[in-house]
Formats: sequence, C-alpha cells, structure tokens
Amino acid sequence: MNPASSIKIGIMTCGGEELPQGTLARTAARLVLEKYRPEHTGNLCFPHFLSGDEKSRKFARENPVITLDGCEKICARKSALRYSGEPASSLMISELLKKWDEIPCLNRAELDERGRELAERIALEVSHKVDLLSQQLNLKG
Amino acid sequence: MKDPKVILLPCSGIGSPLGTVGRQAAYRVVEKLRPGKTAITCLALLDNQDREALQLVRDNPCLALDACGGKCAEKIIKAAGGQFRSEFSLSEIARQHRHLKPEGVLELGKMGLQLVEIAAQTAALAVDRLCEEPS
Repeated sequence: MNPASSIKIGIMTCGGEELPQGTLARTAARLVLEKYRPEHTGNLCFPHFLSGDEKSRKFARENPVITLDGCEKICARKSALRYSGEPASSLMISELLKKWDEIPCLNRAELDERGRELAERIALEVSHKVDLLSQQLNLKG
Repeated sequence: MKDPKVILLPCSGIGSPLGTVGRQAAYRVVEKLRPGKTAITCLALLDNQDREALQLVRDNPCLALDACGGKCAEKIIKAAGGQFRSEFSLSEIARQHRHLKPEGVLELGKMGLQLVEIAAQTAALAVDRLCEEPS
C-alpha cells in the first residue's frame, strides 16, 4: 500500500465513444482532474488499462479508484473489477440524469451549453466522492 | 455481408489532446462526411464482450484512431477478433502537421480543429478505399 502522501485517487471514465453520455463522462472526468480536484486525483487512462498496460493496472490496484460510467453497461466498473479489484466508488451518468430529472444530451460530438452545465454538475458529484475518500484516507489538500 | 460499414474506433483516453482530435474526427466522418457507410463503437464494449459490438468489428473493416504509441484501439480490435485495417494513422497525420498543436483536451482551439478536419478528410478517403474493395 502506498503511504498516504503519495496516494492519488484514480478517475476511470468509460470511453463511451458511441454515446453522448460518454462525452459527458469524459468531460466531467477531465474537469475533476484539471479544475476541481487536481491535487488528489490522477487520470487512469482507460484504453491503456483495457489493453493490458501494467503501469495503469498497478496504479489501479494500489490506489483508490472512482469509476464513472455513461450507461447501464457500466464498462468501467466491470473492467476495474476484472483487472484491479472493487472500485472505491462508482457513478453512472444515466442514473444521475434520472435522479436529476434531466434528459440525456443528444449530441455526442460536442456538448452544447446544457451539456456543459451537466458535465460541470457531474464533475462536482465526482469531486464530492473524491473529498469523502480523501477524508477517509487522511489526504492533505 | 449485410449493410457493410467501416467501423471507426477512436481512442477513449482523456490524457492527451490527440485523443479528443481522434474522437472529433471520427464523429465528423460518421455524422457528416460518410454517414451510412460508417459507424462508431466503444472500445470498452469490446473488452466487456458485448455481443453486438463484437459482431460489428468482426463483420466489418475497422479503423483505429489511436492517439499515442500505446495503440490501444488497434490492440483491443485485434484482441476482439476484429478486422483491423491499417489504412489510417492518426499519429502519422499529427506528425505530418506538427505545426497544428491542439490547445488542450477539453478545448482543442483553432489549430486543433484544423487537425480534426484534416484527420476526418483523410479517414473518409480511407473509408472510400475500404468500401471499394470486393467483399
């Protein structure tokens, strides 16, 4: 196990290239990494992880991971379970949209204003999970 | 083969702007330049043994839009038993247009969007070549 000071929370987002929810997932994940919680999080490159990159899988085994999936197929969560173990936390965008009574975005290529607002909102949800885990792990921010 | 298509599989990584370039280029091909002849599927679905996605890449030629030397899309297509085709290379296009540097992962900026356009046009021509091949 890493010492607390070197622990990063890995953000693993579904690629979701086929669906607008995937674009929301990637955008929200990047917002967490760049804007909201850069000090406590690290990008877990999902295609590297899937294609067998041992560095990515080791990172995921040794650090807490939050999976962010676009749809009910929950590929990120399933892959984490298969290759590195139970994620510390998991979120699914289609569930969040349902909870918020929001209809899914239509455009997967580019988020419109509403899509960008949703991505920010999802990023804040993920950031909240990061904060909870950081407290549990006693990470200094 | 019914309704043959070329399947585009862009890198799904969010660590490099070139990943965004690949996805944007793929969407441009599928939605604007060659609709009806092309489709996108998720790399993660292949790794998770999604039957529909596996069938798609096994029945149709596939172009990978990889953003780095890891060539993850290519590896995942091959591992899924898909018909990987090497007619298109995003990293080669990026090398040929080094002056077009995308600004970031979330916002590509003007030069990044120019690179998207070049990549999309090149991929569309690769699609045409693949569609002309006798089945």
